[in-house]
Amino acid sequence: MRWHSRRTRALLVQVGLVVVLAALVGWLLANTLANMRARGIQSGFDFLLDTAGFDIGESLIDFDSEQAYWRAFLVGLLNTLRVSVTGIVLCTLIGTLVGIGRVSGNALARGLCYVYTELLRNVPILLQLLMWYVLLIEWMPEADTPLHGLGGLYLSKGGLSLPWPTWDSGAWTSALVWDMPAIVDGEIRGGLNFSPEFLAVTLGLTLYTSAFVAEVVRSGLQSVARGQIEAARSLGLNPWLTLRHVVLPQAMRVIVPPMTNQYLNLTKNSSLAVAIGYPDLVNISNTALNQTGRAVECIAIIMGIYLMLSLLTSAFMNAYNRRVAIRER
Amino acid sequence: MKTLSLTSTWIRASWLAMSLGAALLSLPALAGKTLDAVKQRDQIVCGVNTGLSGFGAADSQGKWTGLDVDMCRAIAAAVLGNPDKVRYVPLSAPQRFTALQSGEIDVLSRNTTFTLTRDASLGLSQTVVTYYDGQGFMVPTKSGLKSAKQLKGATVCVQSGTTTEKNLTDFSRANKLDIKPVVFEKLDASTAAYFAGRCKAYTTDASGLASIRSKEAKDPKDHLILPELISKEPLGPLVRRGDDEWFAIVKWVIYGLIEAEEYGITAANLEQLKAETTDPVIGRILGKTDDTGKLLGLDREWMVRAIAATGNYGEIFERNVGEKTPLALKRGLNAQWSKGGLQYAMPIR
Amino acid sequence: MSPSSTPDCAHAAAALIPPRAAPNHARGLRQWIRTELLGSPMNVGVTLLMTALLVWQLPGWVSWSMVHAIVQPDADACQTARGLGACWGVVSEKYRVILFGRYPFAEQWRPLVATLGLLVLLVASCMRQCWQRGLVVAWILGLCGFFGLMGGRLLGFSVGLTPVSTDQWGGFPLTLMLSTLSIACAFPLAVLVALGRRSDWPLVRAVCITYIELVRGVPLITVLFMASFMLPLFMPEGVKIDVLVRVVVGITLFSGAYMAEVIRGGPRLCPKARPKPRPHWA
Repeated sequence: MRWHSRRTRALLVQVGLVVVLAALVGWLLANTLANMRARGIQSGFDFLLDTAGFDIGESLIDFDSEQAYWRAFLVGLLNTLRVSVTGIVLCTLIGTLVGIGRVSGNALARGLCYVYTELLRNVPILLQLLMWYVLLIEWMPEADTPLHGLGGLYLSKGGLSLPWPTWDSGAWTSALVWDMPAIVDGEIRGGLNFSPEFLAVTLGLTLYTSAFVAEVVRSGLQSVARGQIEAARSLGLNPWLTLRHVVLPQAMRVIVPPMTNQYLNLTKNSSLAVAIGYPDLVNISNTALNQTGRAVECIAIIMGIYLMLSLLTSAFMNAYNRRVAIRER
Repeated sequence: MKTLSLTSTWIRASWLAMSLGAALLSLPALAGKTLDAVKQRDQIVCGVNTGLSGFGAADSQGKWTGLDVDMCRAIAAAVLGNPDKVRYVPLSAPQRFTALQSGEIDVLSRNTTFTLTRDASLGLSQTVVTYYDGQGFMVPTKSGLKSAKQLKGATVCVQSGTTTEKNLTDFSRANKLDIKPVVFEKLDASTAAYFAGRCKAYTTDASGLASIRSKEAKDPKDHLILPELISKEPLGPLVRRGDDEWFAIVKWVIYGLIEAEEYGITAANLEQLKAETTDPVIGRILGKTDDTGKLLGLDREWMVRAIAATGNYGEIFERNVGEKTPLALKRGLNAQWSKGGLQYAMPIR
Repeated sequence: MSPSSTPDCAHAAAALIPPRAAPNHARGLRQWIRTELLGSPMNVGVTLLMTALLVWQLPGWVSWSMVHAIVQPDADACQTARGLGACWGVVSEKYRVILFGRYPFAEQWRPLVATLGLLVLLVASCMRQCWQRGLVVAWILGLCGFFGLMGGRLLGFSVGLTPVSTDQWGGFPLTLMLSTLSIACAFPLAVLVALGRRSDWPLVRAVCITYIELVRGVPLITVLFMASFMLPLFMPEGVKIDVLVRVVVGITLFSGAYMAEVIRGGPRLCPKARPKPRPHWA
């Protein structure tokens, strides 16, 4: 091996980097374990099999206090996914519209969209979530006198209730019937129910992220050379066809990578739902942390799950990006 | 291939480095030594509530008052000679145990319930019960509810990470009420949601309910605290396990305050009693006849300073949560054992 | 037409296309309204919709926030105006706590001066005329002044003011300082990591990718929770790192990863350069 060759230098630098990092990580781990042992703090993931002992306000699967902690974490994960998926779909729609509005020919639309994006991007997301939650629970009527509309839609402090088709298996026949919400005991039961916490989180996250998506879409639309649009118009394509067949396909290549960032941000910002009482993953983990005292393990679980969600989203979006990317030869 | 063998060399090097690092650099954490750290810093770091009036709350000028805060002041007076040598760290319920475990704070005085799990598996030790409490419910008076058993299917606002959640679930299960909890991380968010009408009821320790009602309700008469106490909630300060010296100091300062009330020592008659008393018990508490402080690592006047700073237990109670305050709590279970309550101080001798 | 005969002017004049009107160079409000707001049917529709939206919402908001608002710190007036007008009295009473947090009341002139100094420096750094060598000196002095005023001590030496420990700092000065320091420290880190991510050396690339993906994949509150409450658990006994330093390091590491990705996105738009042919002796 020649000591002054490029390869040797590369080798030495990389080995040195890895040794330093490994030593650092090993030192931190050793300290943690020693500290925990000295203070008598129990560690280990076995608590996941213990009975949870707490109820969860809303969940997509059956859960009661007799079930294990791991199932509680699963409920939290499903709640987080519920908010994230709804938010991603809605923010893309709203953000695209606002982004197009920002480059439109109408000055009023341009101005209002500008105000929208600047306002929503610059106010911290936590404040926006709190504001939506306060609006939803202060200005809505009580649960026993809800806003009633469109035959079966109820809006009140208890949330939004919609009729929902369910299977009704009777003795002889089974048919699809509408489960209509109704006021029972001063609360609204039945139908598909969205709690005010879910509505506030989804609304707040959607609008906040849509402002960023609008900016991303705008930058994508403006990145398409003017010549392309002029050429399309001179071919006789009207503005709508130009947008659909010429501008958007070229803009997508610039839009998709930053969009991934925004989707990841939305998923992670949903962890702020704990401030307004939505039982997402961080909320459930807080409860588990307090009841079992296993801080390191619970935080490790949350970080692991969010990391997994982020990597999956990135992988999916990267695959899509490769499909729309310019192929260089 | 040359590349593969190089990669494996690097991986082996990393493992070697990691194990070397672990062996060379892991230092055994030394248990104990909180008293030394406190004396060196000349300050006690006290974990308190973010804002529960009567127990631990700060005003607009940043001055902290409350029953739990007074316990910290008494400890500071006994150990450091000055009740103001305390740094208060406001902690929410999820943060409090980690802060104590990790060494951020020296004592957690934050209306925390003593339970088996907290004593046995968190690496913490429970000192003395400063407030015997129970969990209750608060409902709007206009809802017409008179008993907690009428809360069938109700939404109840609760703060996360406390024994409250678990007790609520146990109560709901035992009485088949199918209660739906709405769980918030911060106290203010949970009370704001209840007062906005999101939930039918609010639940926490009965003393907490009184404090919240006095501070946040537009008209305290609009809210009713239901009579049922669904659990036992003995509240008191906690310290880290493994430091018996510090544990003893905190424990005996509090016992001293309780015994001072039993024997009629107040902040007002302190000096006079110290000069004139012939009662041997009072003499021992005030360091006149025996030097009990020396056994704890403190000096003779430890209890004198503590009582001078905050008064005895009864004075602390009346000043922060007693009948003349907005909370208007009766002594009840927190009266002296000789008056029918549960406060029984171990003798200072 | 034969080349020798003259063109038939009358016939040509009758067949001429009438001249078009000159292009409209008119400026002014009316012209702007005509093109921007009423240019096409769709434009007209959008204008009507937006105007209706504004007319529906704006008067209510103006009335709530300005016309019926209570500015004096009067609790009873606020209660009666509930739902009708905003209670800005809360701000006028508590503005000192909101701005400066739990900083000792009597010493609050110090964070005020420190914040103004930092703001002046930030604004000056945005102006091209100020981009000179003196700006660096001004920044060093400004930062020393900031920490000296806020804490009462600089690098361990007292500056003659009552010392105020870092956990009593709060409010606006803290936000400004954290943002400035974190952004300033994160940018060089981000450049290094972005370059490292494109490097030819596989291990450096792996370390940079791991760092970026780990940090991007995790919510900020978990990182802050770990940094403020669990870090002492990771340190040997007795080692205390100031809480502000921990927060700055946490935010820097966090922003550095995001900025690295943004920087990496830049060169992607350039077409991939052809590799230069290697001489046979290298």
